[in-house]
Amino acid sequence: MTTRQDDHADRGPVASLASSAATQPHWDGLARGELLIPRCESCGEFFFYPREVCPSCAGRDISFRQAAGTGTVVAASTARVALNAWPAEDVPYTAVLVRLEEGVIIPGRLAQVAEGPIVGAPVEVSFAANAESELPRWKLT
Amino acid sequence: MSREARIVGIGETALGSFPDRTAVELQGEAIIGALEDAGLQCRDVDGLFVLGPYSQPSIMFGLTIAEYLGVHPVLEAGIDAGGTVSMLTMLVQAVRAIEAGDCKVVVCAFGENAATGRLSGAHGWTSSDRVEFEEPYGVVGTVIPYALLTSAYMSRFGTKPEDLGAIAISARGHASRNANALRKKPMDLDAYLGSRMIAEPLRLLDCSSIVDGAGALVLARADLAAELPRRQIRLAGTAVRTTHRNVGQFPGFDELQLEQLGRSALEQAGAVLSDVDVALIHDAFTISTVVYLEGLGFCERGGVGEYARAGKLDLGSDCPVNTHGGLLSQGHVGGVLHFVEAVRQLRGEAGDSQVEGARLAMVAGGGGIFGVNGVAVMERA
Repeated sequence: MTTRQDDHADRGPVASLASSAATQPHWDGLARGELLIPRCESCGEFFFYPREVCPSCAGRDISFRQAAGTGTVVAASTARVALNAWPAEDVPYTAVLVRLEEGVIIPGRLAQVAEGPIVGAPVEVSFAANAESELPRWKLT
Repeated sequence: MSREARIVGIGETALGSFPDRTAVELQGEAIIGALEDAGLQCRDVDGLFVLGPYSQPSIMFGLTIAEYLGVHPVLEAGIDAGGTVSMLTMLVQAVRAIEAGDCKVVVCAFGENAATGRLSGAHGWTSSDRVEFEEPYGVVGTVIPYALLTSAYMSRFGTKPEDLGAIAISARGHASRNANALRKKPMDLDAYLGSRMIAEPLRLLDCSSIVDGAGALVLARADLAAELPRRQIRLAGTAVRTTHRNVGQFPGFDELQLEQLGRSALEQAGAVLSDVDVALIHDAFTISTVVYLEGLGFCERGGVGEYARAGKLDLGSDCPVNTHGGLLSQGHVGGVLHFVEAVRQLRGEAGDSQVEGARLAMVAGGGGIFGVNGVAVMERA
């Protein structure tokens, strides 16, 4: 492939977050408003994050499937101050780990600031109209 | 027998803000201090394990330290296993190098300007970290990842803010007895609960104290150690398990297998948990102490608050925890001072913080966001 920098320049900010060709389909999917997660064609396991080899069986035949987009909060934290390198303009915001219906855990951010503990709450993914430049958020359902 | 390894020296710099000193100078001071404590000199060193500063990326740091001290080890390496496990791994490798006959005197050290030397824009550790699937959502640094797992732990085991506070209060109490502790002002539950929220559910007083400083340990072959002045200490058992690097890959608290790690390390020492006289627990955040104490079986899951409020962490109990004040209140030097304190306790040299008759110490902890965990059992040789 051509240099990644060039690709990124063409693809917009969300697609440019990929660090390698192996992770690019996930970010390209988000930029189109689709939550794509990798699945190993050898053992059939979903996994996250995307990589060249399956962490369950070391298989290298990896496909991307569209996730249902629903899951459960397994961890949540609301940033209340802007420490070094935290995104100050976003504070307060609620970071979450979400267990998808497909079984894998994916990091993300809640659409709103959580009021109180939300571990165990069901959530669904929500894309902005300009998904190519704005990351998805998780909404409490 | 003669090839067995003994811990023969410890070194610890003053902890504080030293913007006009480098990590090399701080580690150099700790190493020379440890060698002097052992009755050895730089020219005796033939093995060197170090870890370069997290606050500033560094390469070939073992060479840097060897050059700075003018030593010529036959074996030197930087070891970056993570957190307390970095020093644990250095000690294990030092023991192996001595047992194999490669080395006679091995130095292990870590230290940095964590408070004053951090590069602008750096995260909890170095700016070279790029966490592709976390950073874009604001899952950055160390506090937020730890806060995420704190929320999961509290939800599962019923841990309350007051329980986290009890950990912080005990550590502060111990630090008040330690002349080389950063935070000695007494703390009560109101002060803890009133401290500002950083990343829910973690408050400021759940976080360790970032500090400049360094620590070092020296190991020597048993026949040499017998000629040296200090009471010899033995690394009697160790166990390590790795699970993940990124918080998003956290496999669940059961998967850390802390109870098995503790049992394995103790078995190697021919001991059981109730034999432990003093425990030094990695406490980057209060939740760390909770996870390790409950996971290792010092108390039941969800029971640490009651355990702490009953004084079980404090000096005078059967097994005091973090008698030096820990990372929370003494200061965060990557866990190396947990090992230094264990040696001090086993030698009977801990002064106001001495655990009467301490013969067996456990150092337990991890690195990353509970991604690598290890247990070391140390005893008088």
